[in-house]
Amino acid sequence: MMLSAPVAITGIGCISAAGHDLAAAMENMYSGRRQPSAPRCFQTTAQAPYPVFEISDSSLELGNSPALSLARTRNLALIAAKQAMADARWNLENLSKYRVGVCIGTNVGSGNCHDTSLGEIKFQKNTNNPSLSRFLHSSPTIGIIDAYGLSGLSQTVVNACSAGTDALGLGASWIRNELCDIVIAGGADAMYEITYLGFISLMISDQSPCKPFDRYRNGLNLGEGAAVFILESPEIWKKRQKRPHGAILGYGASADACHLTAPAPDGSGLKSAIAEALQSAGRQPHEIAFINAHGTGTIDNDRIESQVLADIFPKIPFLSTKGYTGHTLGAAGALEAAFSIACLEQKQLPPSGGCTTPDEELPATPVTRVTSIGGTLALSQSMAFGGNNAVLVLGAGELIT
Amino acid sequence: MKCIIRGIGLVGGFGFGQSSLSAALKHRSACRHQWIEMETSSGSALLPVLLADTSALSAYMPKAAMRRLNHYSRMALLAAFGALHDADVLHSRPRRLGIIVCTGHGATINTSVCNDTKNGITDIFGSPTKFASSVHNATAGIIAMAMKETGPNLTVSQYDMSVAQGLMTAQLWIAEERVDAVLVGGVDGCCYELAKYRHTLIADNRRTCVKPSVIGEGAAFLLLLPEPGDSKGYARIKAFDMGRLGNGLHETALSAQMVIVGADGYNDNEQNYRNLVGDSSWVANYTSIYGALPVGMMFDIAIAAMALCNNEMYPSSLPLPLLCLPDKLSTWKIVDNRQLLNTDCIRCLKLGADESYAWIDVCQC
Repeated sequence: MMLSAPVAITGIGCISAAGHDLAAAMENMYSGRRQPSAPRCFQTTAQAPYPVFEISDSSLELGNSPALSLARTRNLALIAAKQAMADARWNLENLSKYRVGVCIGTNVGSGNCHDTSLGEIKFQKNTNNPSLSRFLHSSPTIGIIDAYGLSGLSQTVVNACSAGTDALGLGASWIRNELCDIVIAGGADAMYEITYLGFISLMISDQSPCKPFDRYRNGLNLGEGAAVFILESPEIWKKRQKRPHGAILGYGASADACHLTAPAPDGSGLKSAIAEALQSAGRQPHEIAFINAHGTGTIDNDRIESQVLADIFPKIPFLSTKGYTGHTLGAAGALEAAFSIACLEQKQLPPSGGCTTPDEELPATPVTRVTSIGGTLALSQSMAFGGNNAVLVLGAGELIT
Repeated sequence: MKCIIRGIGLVGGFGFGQSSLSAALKHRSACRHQWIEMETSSGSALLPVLLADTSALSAYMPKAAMRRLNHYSRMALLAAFGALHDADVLHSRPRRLGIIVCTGHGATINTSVCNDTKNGITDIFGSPTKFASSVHNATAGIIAMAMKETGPNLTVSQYDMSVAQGLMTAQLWIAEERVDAVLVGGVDGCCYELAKYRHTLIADNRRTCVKPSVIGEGAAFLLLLPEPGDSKGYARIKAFDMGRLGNGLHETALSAQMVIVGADGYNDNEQNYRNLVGDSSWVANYTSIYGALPVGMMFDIAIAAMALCNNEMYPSSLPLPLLCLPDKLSTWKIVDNRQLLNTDCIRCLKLGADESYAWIDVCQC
């Protein structure tokens, strides 16, 4: 494994039920506010509505942009990208002379984000059906490419719940290998009825607001959102004197090769991804100031993740932010990386969302109140359906300036 | 970023393995088509399709383990095992093996099962297995489980560009020494909805000048190793480029001596192929052999590697699905017979529906 050079993060945009941008989300999380509710963007056939973390339609307004008529996932990605571009001080004109790549993680937004369109295609005789054109035009990656007139590398990562983390790790690699000058990377996913019903069928959805690492946790709540990062080569951000928010220092990925819908009981896959991420960053576990855990609130996930954290990072504080956002699937890793960078900047952690009675049977439990942190490194980790594990080592901006 | 193609695994409407594909290519004919009956605004229509038979998978895994696997995953598993078998590493695999699955439609053929009544989404509520099968990266996870491979595992899905994206990441993983080898493949299935979608692309645009390739399904996997190192291989992947036509197009795309064009007749991009492939290029197209599917580029790369290894180009299937350009077809040098290669590199060119393009140079070792 080669040592990875840090890749600067010069812009961050995000939207989730925790807040319509990063500042609002952090303010709500530091205050412990969260507002799950019954799904509104589709009529559920579930007998009892399970709470979700849905974004209000008013937050999805993009003025007169044609994006309004696009698929919801693509719309969320465009909102986050717009914020990130403004934050990084990029616009259509000054971006055009650089090699710009787009790497986005998603699930719903990759071809099958058409919960009704498949049925429409199947049963309607009229081939001139809007769902047909929607079918292949829902990609958040292509949405960003179209919106900014880009012509460089692109990639849509569909690694389920680790897709956002993977997209950031891969996007950073494009900068290091000089394939791009700038990479727009992150994750996006909207609420989707098949996913909603699917997690209920797996019996890992909580009928009350989720409580990651809590003694009374009983599953996850789904959410929706997007987070987009602007990653830049050192030549560019130094030349334009843009102070980075932070940096991606390392990335690791692995497969459990164990079970399709449950983590490996011994956490070996997650441990392997953590080891690879630390190795690529050239860092040791004791240097990490805090961990943003995957922390879904399911019995198995939290038990195994807690054990891994206790083994590798004893007494290092950690939290789950899914208690504020719900599980946003392909967006989760990117949202959590954004929150991690914000925590490094503000040098404090919000209370872990929904954890009011830490599970004493777990070997490690998260912070339950606002907690100061002293270091400059954070770990953000994702465990995904299919047995995927992905981990980022993130650094504060001061590490590279 | 260079790597060697050490093993090739293939399954599609032509059969299983290189010998089946090679025979179909030499005879310019896929196996017998099957038919999907669909309802359209002008009545019932029968649409020919090339479907894959995955029964050969039983040679690689117990039938009991196959029982709950869906067809989409079976295709990927069969081609993945085929690539390892072909590379003679089925039982002594590289220490850290990365797995990358590229797919244009993803698990849509499984998702369609979830929409099997006129009321929309249905019994997924009572079927965790159906839900699990509808998640895009399930197949990559299934391959990892079947092979007990714990290296990095990635699924990419961006329609026609998925293959180029997956190959780019495979090369990066090798260059960064994250893995010792990568098993990278393309897989797409065919179902009623996707066939109808393809049919609509032609019908709605009234593109009567094009004879599109028959709709297909299948999987093509490659085992990639770093270069230098093991010099035994079919070919090496030397260079690639991708982006949007216009500003992003590099002029080198015009200068290749031998080009496999991935046109299948469904996207309105004949003019772009015309602009990109010069008159001095030899041109071949094989989409009517393996069928029209978003990850067709992986089949083209496999065909290029086989041709380079044998130093003989397969005859292009005719007519090309580019009939809207009769003037161009009269000037292109089409590979219309088996012929010795006069170049050490073959460029595989794929143009997407959204003005996207990708090319990959496959060269002799």
